[in-house]
Amino acid sequence: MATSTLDSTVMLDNTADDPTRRAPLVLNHTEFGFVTDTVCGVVERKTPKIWYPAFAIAVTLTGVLFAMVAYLVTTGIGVWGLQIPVAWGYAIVNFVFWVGIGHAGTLISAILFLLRQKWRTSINRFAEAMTIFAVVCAGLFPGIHVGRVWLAYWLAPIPNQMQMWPNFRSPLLWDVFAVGTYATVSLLFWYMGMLPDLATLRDRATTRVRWFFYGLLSLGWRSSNRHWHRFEMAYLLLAALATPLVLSVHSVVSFDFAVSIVPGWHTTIFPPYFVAGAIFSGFAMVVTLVIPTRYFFKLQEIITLRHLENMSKIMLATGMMVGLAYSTEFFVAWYSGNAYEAFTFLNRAFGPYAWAYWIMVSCNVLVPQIFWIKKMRTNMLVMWIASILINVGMWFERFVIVVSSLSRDYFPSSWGYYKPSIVDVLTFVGSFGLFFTLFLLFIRFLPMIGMAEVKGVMPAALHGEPGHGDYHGDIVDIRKRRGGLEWTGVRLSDVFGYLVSFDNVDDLLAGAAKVRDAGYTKWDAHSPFVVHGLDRAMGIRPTRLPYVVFAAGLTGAIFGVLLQWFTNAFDYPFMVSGKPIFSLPANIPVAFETTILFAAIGALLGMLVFNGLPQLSHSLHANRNFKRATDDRFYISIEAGDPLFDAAETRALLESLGGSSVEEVEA
Amino acid sequence: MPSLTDTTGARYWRSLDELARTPEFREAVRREFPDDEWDRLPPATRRQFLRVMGASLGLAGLTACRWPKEEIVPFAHRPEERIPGVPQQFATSLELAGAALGVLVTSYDGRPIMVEGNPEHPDSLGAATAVAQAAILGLYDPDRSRRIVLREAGQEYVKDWDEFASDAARRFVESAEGVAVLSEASSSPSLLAVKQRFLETVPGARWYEYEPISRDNEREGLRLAHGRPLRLIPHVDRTRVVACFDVDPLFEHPSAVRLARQFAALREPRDGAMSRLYVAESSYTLTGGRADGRIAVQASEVAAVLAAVAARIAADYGIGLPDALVDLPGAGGVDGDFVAAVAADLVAHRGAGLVMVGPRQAPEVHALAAALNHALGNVGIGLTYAEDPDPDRPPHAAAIVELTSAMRDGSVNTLVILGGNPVYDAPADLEFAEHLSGVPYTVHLSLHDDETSRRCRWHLPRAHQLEEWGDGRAWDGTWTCRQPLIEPLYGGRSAVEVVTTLLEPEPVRGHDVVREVARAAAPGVDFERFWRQALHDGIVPGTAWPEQRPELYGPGLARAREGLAEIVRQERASANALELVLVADAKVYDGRFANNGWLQELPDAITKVTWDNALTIAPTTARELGIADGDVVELSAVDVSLELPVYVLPGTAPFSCAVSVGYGRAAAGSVGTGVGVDTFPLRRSTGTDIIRGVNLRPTGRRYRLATTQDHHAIDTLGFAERNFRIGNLVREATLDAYLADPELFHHMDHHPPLEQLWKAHTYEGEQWGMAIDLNACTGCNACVVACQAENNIPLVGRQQVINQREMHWLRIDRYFKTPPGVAPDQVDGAEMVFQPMTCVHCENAPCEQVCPVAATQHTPDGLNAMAYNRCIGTRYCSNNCPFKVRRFNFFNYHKTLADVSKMQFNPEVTVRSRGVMEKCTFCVQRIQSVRIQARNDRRPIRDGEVVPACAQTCPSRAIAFGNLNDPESEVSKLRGSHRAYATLVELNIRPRTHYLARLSNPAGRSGQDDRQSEHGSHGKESA
Repeated sequence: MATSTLDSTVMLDNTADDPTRRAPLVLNHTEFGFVTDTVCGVVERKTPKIWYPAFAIAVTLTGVLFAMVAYLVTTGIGVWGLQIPVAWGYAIVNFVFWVGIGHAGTLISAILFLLRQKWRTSINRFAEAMTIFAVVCAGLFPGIHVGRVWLAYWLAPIPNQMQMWPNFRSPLLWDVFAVGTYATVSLLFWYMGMLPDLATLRDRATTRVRWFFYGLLSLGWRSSNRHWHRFEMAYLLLAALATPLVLSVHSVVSFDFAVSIVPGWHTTIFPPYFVAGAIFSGFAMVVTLVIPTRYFFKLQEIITLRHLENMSKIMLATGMMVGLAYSTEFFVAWYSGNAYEAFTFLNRAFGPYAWAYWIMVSCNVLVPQIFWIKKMRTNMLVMWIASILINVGMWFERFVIVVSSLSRDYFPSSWGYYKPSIVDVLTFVGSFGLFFTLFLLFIRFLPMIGMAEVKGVMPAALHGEPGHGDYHGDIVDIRKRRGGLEWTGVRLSDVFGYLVSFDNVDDLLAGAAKVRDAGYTKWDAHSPFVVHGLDRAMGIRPTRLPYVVFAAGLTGAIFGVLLQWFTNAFDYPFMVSGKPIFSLPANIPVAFETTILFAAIGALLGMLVFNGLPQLSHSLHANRNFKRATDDRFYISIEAGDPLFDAAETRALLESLGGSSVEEVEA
Repeated sequence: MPSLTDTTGARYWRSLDELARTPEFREAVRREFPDDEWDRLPPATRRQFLRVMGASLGLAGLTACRWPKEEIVPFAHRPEERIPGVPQQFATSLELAGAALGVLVTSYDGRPIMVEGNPEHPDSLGAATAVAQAAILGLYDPDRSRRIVLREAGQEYVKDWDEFASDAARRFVESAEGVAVLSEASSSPSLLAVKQRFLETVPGARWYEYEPISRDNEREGLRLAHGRPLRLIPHVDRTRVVACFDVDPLFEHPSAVRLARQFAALREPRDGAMSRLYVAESSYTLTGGRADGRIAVQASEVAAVLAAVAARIAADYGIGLPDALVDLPGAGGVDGDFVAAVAADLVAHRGAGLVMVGPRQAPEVHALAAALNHALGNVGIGLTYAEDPDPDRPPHAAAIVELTSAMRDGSVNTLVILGGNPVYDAPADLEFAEHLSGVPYTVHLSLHDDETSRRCRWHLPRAHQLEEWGDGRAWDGTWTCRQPLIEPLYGGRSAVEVVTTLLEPEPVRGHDVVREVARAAAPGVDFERFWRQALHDGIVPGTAWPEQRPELYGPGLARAREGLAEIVRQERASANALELVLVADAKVYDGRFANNGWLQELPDAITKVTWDNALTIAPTTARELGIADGDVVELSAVDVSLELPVYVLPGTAPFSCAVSVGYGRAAAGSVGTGVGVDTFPLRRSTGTDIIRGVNLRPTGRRYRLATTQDHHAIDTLGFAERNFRIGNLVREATLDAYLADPELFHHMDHHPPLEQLWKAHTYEGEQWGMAIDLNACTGCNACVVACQAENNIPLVGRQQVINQREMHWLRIDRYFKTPPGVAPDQVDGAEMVFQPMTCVHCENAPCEQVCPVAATQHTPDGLNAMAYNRCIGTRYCSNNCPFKVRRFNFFNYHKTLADVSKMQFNPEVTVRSRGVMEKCTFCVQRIQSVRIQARNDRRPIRDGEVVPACAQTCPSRAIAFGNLNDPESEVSKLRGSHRAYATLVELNIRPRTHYLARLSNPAGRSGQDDRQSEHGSHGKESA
């Protein structure tokens, strides 16, 4: 077991059943530096040997993927097993499968954030990255599955050589907007959350290359609480935007089916059913990835059994939702009296594709039932195998929906039996290669756990909590452990201001209050994570960011409706399916997505602009001791430009705060 | 070395391929040697093409022209008014097995692109068969022979016509003895004339005619019954009752197009009456599919059924049959109900009935039918007789035996084979090929350098029927012109020209021969005027053979009685000794069309099999023998054994199986070589196609037949559901039930009121719509080929059909209907129904809304239009099409097409690229062309002016097209019929194509018969 190297296996089990007892989210350690060292260590230490063969395999499979895509593009869609009636096969199955997996990240980040589920912090970064890579894989398939790939850009509402616009009444176009928005917002969310951690990596960089790239990526983040303040608001807004988004994306994907008239597709249960399935498969994928990762990178104390157990419980719950959906479909098919629907479902369960149906039911409904047993949901091996089986089952769910419905629709003369070609299979396998390539690069080069967020939920981060400030280690000792590079920006022999550091939250808060009361305005507090109460202690007023985001969202909504009206009802009106030329209900999905897209971009840009980021060069960066602002120490800085600044008085004030000795920071 | 370097490469590989006949290997060969390498026109392609085009424009003064301008008379325009880009139609004819079908060929700037029926022609009436229409592709076949080949001492030399002429002249001078000619059956007066001259000029020359598939049994049967050979001409329109014994007049008759038209006209119930059709046959035919009463009996048992009918008529109704036939040997064990019903109906409709017997039945059976028709007073009404055009001709089967024995005993020194492919299709026991090699000097004229050519000294390329001057006679004798649409692409010559080449040093032009023969036949008229008119019309009216009223001929009937007694006495086939029926293939006929891709890929009307021939067998027999659909069986008959894939076909008689000939060609060309299994080895010189004592043994191997329907073996669940749905999709009732409740077809499905969420669009101006009469449709496939030719629909090949990627825009769904609760392997008696299915142009088309790039939209005149250029190929529209009529270009199917094959393309229709969806357009190009014409003339479009290709060619006029906004249009009236219904209306998609329900008229089951009650359970109300 992985636990053998750790202090105590007893401590590892933080899955107590007693709800009144708050089990720790980080085991065995309470100091912030431990989190920094552990997480950054994955990136900074020598790569575990297993990473190389894994990466080699993943890259090879990616090569297979690209070879298959090249073959497809040069030869034709006929290299796949598609036919009439089953004109959608593996590509769409894989698309829905990957999009589904891409739901866990945003769900964990956004919804659990809104629900104040603190345990999310250890896994959200990881899950968000997984989301993005899964969406990359998902986005690949609709792109290559069209007959004329080189014209796929006609899906975008841009003027093209045909002098025409896309058809906004098509669910596929809604899909383009939904998946596009989702990919963009997930990327923003992920990147924004990573900014403080990238700054940590920058500050710990020992090579110039690392220092340069992490420096560039972190946009000059300096842990300023004035930044944290807007950062947190932006994060909250993004979470609030991503929550309906994550629910909408798979709903829109399900519209591809639900809006059509194919028996087995045309059903109102699809949106919730797809969303539940997406969460289900997304969590399963997180578990599949996290179990080996925490083992090989020794992260058991940060990604604990409690995290895994919680995920098992979610899988149990969503698995049962999916099971309920399966039975509801059957019930409705029978109860509706629609003979075509009734046959479709009987055919699923007992027709030529019965094998796929029963794989789906076994994996998705029966397998999660083992999580009723605590022993099972705390056993790594059982969980790991179960999560893989769930993913198999979820892939088959999409296969059953897409293929079995199409293979036998209305006219018995056209019934057929779809079989994938070898190209289909290799493309699917290759997409795993792409996914794992990106994933392995991610865990190697980026912080896979949100350090700032984990630190924020540690007991020491909370004002007045017992155990704070336990760690009083020597600064120099730690620096010996991990060296840091000197900031080599241009130095002016002027004074930027004074800097004082603290080793715990309480001193910081008290100090900040004193500085505030002294009437300073150009000063700041710095902390490696969001310190609650610091805003009040510093006297910062609420940010105007929400107004910006609202305005951006409103713009997006108006843009979405106008775009559809202009393109489909004004500039080039055309008649489809006897429908009206302009009708608001059909425009809602796209308008919704543009709303979210604009608002999310507004949130990120607003945060950056208000914070004055990117600002790659700042006097504080040049201070060697300030590097721990992204690690485990807390600072107050007063700028020389403050109207009240007085070399002696200000120094005296700072010295009275009980921190380290006051430093003069060069400008 | 002057050998045939252009084709040997491919053929060399193809022979290896026969050793290792794996599909992978063949695919590899195809890739290694793409068609382009050897399919090009011989010399500078473009120049040759222009020259060829120019020639057929009929413009004077071009030196390249073989024919001066006045000889080709356009159907619609005079040449001086020709406008480039405006298609013209020319009347010509296509002959098959001695009967000419008049056709109109559309020529586009000199390129013939489409064959349609000639409305003036008695056997066409404006429609053409699938085979006739496919002639266009045969014309542009890149594998057609383009060289005169001399094969000598194992070497091949390319020669020219002059070299052949001088070599042949030398030969005829050196040894004019022992000359024989073997020709195909031909009705051409010109060929007859040159034949006479040849026989007069060459002393001792003999002329044989051989067709592997003929109606000689009928001819000989009439000789028995009436003392001289006669030609039987059926007139279904004058009948009330038709009884068919192992015969398929609606499809397999030289007049099938006319008969289908006449039959369909009788199926429209007028004054509560409808004709009645009885069929006794061993395996489903299209006629059998339309029968009101049908029994599946072994082919060898059909005679007994007919004898029983005759006996019943004589005994029960006192109809005087000739003495010789009165006391016929008993035909026990046949279906008494069927016999009684047929007898009663024939008697009740004396003088308005018709008894027909099929060409594979022995002459004695035909004699019996003739006697019956005579006794019932049908002669002169339901059928007429004409004098046989060549009464002295021995039957084809005898002719080939005679020729072979002459070859064997060395009395043939020189053999000229005009067309045909006897090495492939002569009776196997004659060993024709070996004896042919023994003939010192042999000449073969044929379209392809085929099996026979390769064993002859000379191979001469033949001009295609669309390239040659000629003439012919319809089945009833009407003179029919044949004029070339294009100069011979490969320098071929017609049979008439080759025979004259043999006779004279200076070649005579075919045109002159034909003209002179016509001049001689039409004395005392202004010949130029007459000739122009004849070419314009394609026929000369009133040239049908005079009707004969023969009397019965006692001695012949007495002989027939003996033969009949023998036949009836035969033991029935059983599991150990099955009966095998060899049939002409509905597509490649006797193999002569094997290299025609359209025909190869055309789904067989009944089995829906493409690119193969399969052994059909009844479900119960298959079960008894332990054989399943798709099994490969070893078939042994006499001393031959073959391996064949099995197709289990309902409606087949027990212990009877059938397989078509015409496949397994060794040298058909790149399309047809090696497709299917050659079943000619089963044929014997005894001339019968009913082979007894056949054994089937499963080999344990399986073979994937490329079918366009039932792509996989169906499970019990799907089988039950299919049966459940058919009644609603293909609505059918008995005549009595329909008369009792004319609205019954509208009560077959129940659904909530169809309401729209939004205000419906108003459709003004012309609104196109279609009506398809299932009561008229025989399932003959003519529309499928017409659509393919008109709309440049690509071929996909066998493997892609297996992959369910066939491209036909129009398909004919064929269903077998069985009573509920019948297991899939017990459906011997299943009823067969057809439903032509193509895009129904829904007003609320589900395909349109789902297209993200708006590539499929609704036009103001109601078409569901497809903008190919806009399509990016998401295929969503196909998924959302409940009829599954959309087709997708999974590959670039035109990539490997030979240049010459591209000449067939209709320039009015886009050739679709890879990755694009396509489907029926209601022939929008024809609509637009008529619209332009009407606008130029400042008049509205007249009803019936716009005719899509499928409707144009439908022999039975099952398809009507027109403006739905015009209440007087034919289509509006049909849609107002009680029988009109639309499929899947409950989806509120508002299809613009409506179907007219099928009616059947079973005997003596007035009111509540079991079919009616069975039908009720198909309706949705019981669900």
